[in-house]
Amino acid sequence: MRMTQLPPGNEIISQGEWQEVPGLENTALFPYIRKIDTISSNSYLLLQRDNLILIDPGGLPEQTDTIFSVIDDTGRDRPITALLTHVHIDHCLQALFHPGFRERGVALGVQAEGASALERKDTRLTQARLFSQELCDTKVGIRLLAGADHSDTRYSLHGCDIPVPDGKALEMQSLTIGAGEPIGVYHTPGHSPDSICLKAGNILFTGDLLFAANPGIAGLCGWSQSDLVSSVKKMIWLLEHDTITVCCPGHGRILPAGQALAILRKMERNVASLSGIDEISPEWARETALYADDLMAEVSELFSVIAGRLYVVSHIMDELEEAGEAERIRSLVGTDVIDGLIEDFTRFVEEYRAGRKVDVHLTLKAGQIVQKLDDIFGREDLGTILDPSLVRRAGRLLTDYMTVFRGFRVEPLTGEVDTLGSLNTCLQSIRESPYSEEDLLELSDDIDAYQKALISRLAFVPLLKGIDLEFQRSPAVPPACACLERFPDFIRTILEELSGNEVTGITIKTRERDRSVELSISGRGGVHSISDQKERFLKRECRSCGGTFVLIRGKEPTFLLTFPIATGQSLE
Amino acid sequence: MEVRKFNKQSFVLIEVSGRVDTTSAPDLETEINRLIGEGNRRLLLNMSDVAYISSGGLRVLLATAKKLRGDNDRLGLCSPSPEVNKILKLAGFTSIFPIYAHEDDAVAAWK
Repeated sequence: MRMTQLPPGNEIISQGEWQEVPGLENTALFPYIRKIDTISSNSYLLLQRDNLILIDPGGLPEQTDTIFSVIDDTGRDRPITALLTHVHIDHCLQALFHPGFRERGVALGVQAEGASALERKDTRLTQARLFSQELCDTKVGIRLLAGADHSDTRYSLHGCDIPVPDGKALEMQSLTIGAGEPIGVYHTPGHSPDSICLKAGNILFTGDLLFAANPGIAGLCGWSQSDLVSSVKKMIWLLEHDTITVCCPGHGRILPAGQALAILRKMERNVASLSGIDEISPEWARETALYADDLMAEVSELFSVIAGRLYVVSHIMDELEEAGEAERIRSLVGTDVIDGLIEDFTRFVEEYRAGRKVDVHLTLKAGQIVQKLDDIFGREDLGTILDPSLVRRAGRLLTDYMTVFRGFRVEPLTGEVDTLGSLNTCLQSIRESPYSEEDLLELSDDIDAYQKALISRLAFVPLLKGIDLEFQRSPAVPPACACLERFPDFIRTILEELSGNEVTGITIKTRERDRSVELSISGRGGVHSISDQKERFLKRECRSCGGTFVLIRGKEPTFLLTFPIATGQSLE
Repeated sequence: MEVRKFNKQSFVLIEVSGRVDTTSAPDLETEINRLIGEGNRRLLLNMSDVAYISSGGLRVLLATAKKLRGDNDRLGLCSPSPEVNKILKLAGFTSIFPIYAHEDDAVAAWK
């Protein structure tokens, strides 16, 4: 076996090769690090004097094949023990199903609650039901942190809880297998009730502790906010007071202890805000996956429109021989990056529709894409050029998804909306450019202000031009209880939808009906290609405004919006 | 994405189908540039079978408009799918080049 000899003091851990474990003389480590996904965890091999320990076999058969071939390359026949940092199937599936585990007589070591979950084939605690995965009969040989000490010819377990200031003791056991060095086992529930961290020499194997507050993970069955707060505090204390120099997580790259400590300190602040999040159940995943699919269709349309408007302005500035300004405007949004992200998601959706991905995969992929889009979407710069409603809506699509993905609900922040006044303002802004020709003349002495106004005027698209608009209002429509910010943007979304469908006329009617404010917007003429996906999107948007939405399809499609009448009691 | 070309009496008809996105837009641009390079200065793009156009595709259309600015040059789109038509309209492309409901409308306008 080839082993990397590290110079003293150098404790950088490399993946895919054997190396000494810092702080131990007779133990070697082989890390198997994967690109982060939800299918399989990292795996780690520890080669001890007379035995082998496999931490988290992972979820993919080819991963286990590779690990067994690495074991075979050591050239010595040693008993193998697989230790699980917790029983989520991305960490343990192969320990249950890969034939090599039975053939080689691999013993399984799991925290007591996790051991029971595996033995009773609990598809909730293992997350198997989220991935439509069945479980098989499993026998756990070593029950960790079960309370009592244990000692036999193969292994021994001794409890030695660690008192932590300002909290409950850190539950800990020392596991010694054969003549190997003792492994520290620390109970760190929160991500799941059976989560543990393992310590060998100066290395801490942290399982999924460092990601336990992440969106799409916080809220999994068995997740506990209070337990997580407590575990994070204890592990911060341990990292501050122990000799740990390196942390090997369940997913992603190996970290110096200082970086892991910084993550835990940030988590300590974040976890407190995660009260009342939804449980990530199969129902949640199905609903959120559908939302993600609908939302990304809307995102791709809206971002194409935003990029298109910038290109149009840039094109005209080029014609006006303002090449510098044209280039600045063109580069305001990273359109290639955005297109690339949307295409990446589209390919993923194709796999999902083909049955190769499940609901929860789609929700996580959308979370990843939306986060990246949010990072590169420069709202402030764009808001000075484009219609602010367009920029607001694009930004809101991203934040709304992240709210749902984090396990919260998008609740309407309602107020008293002057229905007629708000409609009039909305119609005015969609009909008139923010700067008139007179405004431009007024600003012609101030070059910067003139150019800003000119660009804004060029970016304005008269969407209702050529459309016959009829506004039938009841004489006294009461104020609606709706979201002040979202209401005008939602009306604008509907008007844009009709305009994009080439209607020749739009009729808007408002009235009070059954103690509600009813608003109907109908289109005349046009192509009426309003998809089911668009209808679902509009329904959700209307709900976020505080109202209900019905689409009446037909020769003249009608969008019927109903809001409660604003009373002192109905306002939030 | 697929691109098919037809030499008509006074213009070249380019039929585009599929998705015009970051991956396929450069191919469309190459094809259009080749046609312009061969001296074709009147192009009509039929986009009835294009389900989606990304910003990359929009950029190709504008780059083409920039190349065909001569008095006798023409660039137009015809029969866009509702999805594409909506994006072109909301993005303001109708002010850059004409969008015809049918190929015949372009033929009549370009006589």
